[in-house]
Amino acid sequence: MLIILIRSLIVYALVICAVRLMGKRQLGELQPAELVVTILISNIATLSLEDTDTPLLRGILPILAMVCFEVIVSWGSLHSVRLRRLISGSPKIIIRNGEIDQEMLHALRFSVDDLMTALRGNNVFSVEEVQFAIVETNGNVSVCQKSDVQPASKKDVHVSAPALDPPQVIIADGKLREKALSAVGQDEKWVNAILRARGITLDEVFLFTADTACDYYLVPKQNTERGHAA
Amino acid sequence: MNRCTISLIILAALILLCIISLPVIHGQCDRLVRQTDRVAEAAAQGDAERALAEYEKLEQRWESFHDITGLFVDGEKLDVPREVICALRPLLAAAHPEAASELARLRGMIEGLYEEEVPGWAHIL
Repeated sequence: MLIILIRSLIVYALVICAVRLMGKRQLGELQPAELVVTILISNIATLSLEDTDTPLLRGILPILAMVCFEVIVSWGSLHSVRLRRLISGSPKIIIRNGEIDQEMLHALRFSVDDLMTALRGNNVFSVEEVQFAIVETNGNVSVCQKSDVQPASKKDVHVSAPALDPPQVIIADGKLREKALSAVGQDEKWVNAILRARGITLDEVFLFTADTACDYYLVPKQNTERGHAA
Repeated sequence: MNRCTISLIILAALILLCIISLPVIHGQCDRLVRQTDRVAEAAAQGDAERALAEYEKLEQRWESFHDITGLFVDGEKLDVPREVICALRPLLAAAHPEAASELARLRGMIEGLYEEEVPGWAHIL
């Protein structure tokens, strides 16, 4: 039993390293090849765990090999359009200028129900509102609505707003993140001044976010006073 | 060092490991086969005492063979030779004629272990 436990820990560490090596692409939208590799890795890892008669190397080797192939092929796809088309295919336009390309739908084996489901997934409930729709290589459908049904932006109503990066997490569970602090252009003195004004210490902070305009939001740990400031 | 470079290094290490495993298994099988032959020779000459002495060495050789080869080969493939080795002692002690056939069988199994690891089309497919 101890052998199974140790093997599980080794395989777990290996799979984590493998996923990290493959990079954030793997954690986001999966291309067909990436999906295949992910499924294969999970199956191979399971075999290593289940059968203690099989040497651990026989599980480790294919997992590592597959990960390495995947990284090398993705690098190749990055530099070669031809390889990228071969591995991932190319996006297909299914609605152009408001008109559905029925031949393309047929070629993709996309039924009308699939189309409507994809549109609803993009918060579009009427095909008439769609100017352009494209099926991406990972199977997702991207939709561009006609301009007269798109929500108005600040630019449309001539309202100016400063361009700000989103707030960063400066303190999480009592721990200061210096990188995030410098990203918003502030230093520890600024944070300490705010905490002093609120009458709490660093350890008592559950969450503290701030943006480049010095707008911050502070959540103390439970049983301490709450508050935020502009 | 980017991911691609790390992947290439890992891949090279894996290929190297696979290539190295073949001579390691071959060396181990070779030593075990030679020891088996020594036991067989002693048994064929009717020298039970020498056969048993060589058998002791065979058992020791098997232990190191099992430890090293077990890293690369399935445990199931090593179970049968182990059973044959265990069954040899009483046969050798009694100078039983069946010892010769069991030793020949053991030799065949050990040689087969290496042959199965060689990457031929029959094994790949």
